[in-house]
Amino acid sequence: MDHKGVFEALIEQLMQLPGVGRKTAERFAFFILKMPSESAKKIATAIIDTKEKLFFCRVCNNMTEEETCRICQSSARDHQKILVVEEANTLAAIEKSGEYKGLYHVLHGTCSPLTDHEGGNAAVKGLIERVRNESNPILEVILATSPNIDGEATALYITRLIKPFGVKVTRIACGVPAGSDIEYADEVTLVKSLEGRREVYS
Amino acid sequence: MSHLSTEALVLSTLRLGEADKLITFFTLTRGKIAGVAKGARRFKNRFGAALEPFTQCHLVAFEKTQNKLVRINQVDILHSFQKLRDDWDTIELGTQMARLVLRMTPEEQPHPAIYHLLQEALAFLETGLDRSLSFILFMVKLIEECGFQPQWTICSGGTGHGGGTTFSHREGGILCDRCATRDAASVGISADALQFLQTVSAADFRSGHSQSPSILVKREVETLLRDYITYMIGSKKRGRW
Repeated sequence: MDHKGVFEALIEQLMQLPGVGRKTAERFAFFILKMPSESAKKIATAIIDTKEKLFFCRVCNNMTEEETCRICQSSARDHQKILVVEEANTLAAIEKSGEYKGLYHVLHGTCSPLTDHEGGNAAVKGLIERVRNESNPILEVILATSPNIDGEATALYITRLIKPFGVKVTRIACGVPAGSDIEYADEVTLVKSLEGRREVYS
Repeated sequence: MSHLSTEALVLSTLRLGEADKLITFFTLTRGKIAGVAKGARRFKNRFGAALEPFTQCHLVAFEKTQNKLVRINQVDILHSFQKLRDDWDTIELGTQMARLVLRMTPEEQPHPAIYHLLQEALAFLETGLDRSLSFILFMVKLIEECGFQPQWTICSGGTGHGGGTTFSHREGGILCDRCATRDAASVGISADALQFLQTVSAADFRSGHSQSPSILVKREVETLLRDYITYMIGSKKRGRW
């Protein structure tokens, strides 16, 4: 393979990344070409390590370097609550808030008629197994799927499957985002926020 | 760059790039069009819930001459059909209706009758009287509007005989006993199902709801129509679009 072949191969590989077209891939490739060898090797090693050393937790499907993730292993967490999220990056955002101390379950997708039940279906089976497991009784399943039609459909689907086990199923609140002005909220968001209103204590 | 301002129904949404959405609308004045909503997936975006599927909205967009995709500038909700999203069954039926319009209509060809049909069908789903009947009537009327109206009264084999015991997807209608052998793939159709189809074909979508077919007839008609649509649009998945 000549120099042009090597460079072209790099561009083609970079174009596999989401949102990266030919122009952006070329820009990245030229940047890599100009960067020190050490830095380029670090990028390559990080990619290889991610593929070889990172797995999905066998319990919650979170990213981990061991069989089970640090959240599932932690005795400081509330093992009677499971918070269901669509993707691992949602889990990271919730962890960043520091408010939630229970366990998670990552679906890696949604179970919606719009997506032909693809993606999250296998993970939902894992969630049901966790709820059915009598050695570690679950008291509450919190559904933190996105407040769009895919997320709502997924929440309805999971609720339908879990309710027969007598477990409390809750949905995260939906309404006006903090720091915004109510006058700019659309009617659906306003209705949702009114439905989910709570009593104010002095 | 020209300006587009029209009423529209959201048919589908697709994630695009980091925070954008690719939306397909069925508009009142331009038919099916697709556009990009920049930043629509961000937490604080200007579109809010207006780009969720089934939403009836007023769309303002800009068109580029070289690009088929419009740039969505403003979307105001006219009716959200929010109740449809509170139940799995209505989400599924609404999705199938939207998908049918998506698959059966060409791009940028105005068809106000289909727009009003979809709007009315979603409204009937929302009220939840007889959802399966609403879905069947929607399929019957959409097939008609798209130009695939089957022959329900006389044999489509050319003999002109009335009645029939089989339905041929290829011939696009019922076949009399003499012509039934012409299409080995033709399927049987009961007298009750045929009577129901003849009645609702002559009625409009709204008055079709006065019919009360049995569950067996509804199942038979739904399967027949699903298979016919699958045949017409050339889908590989039987009954799925």
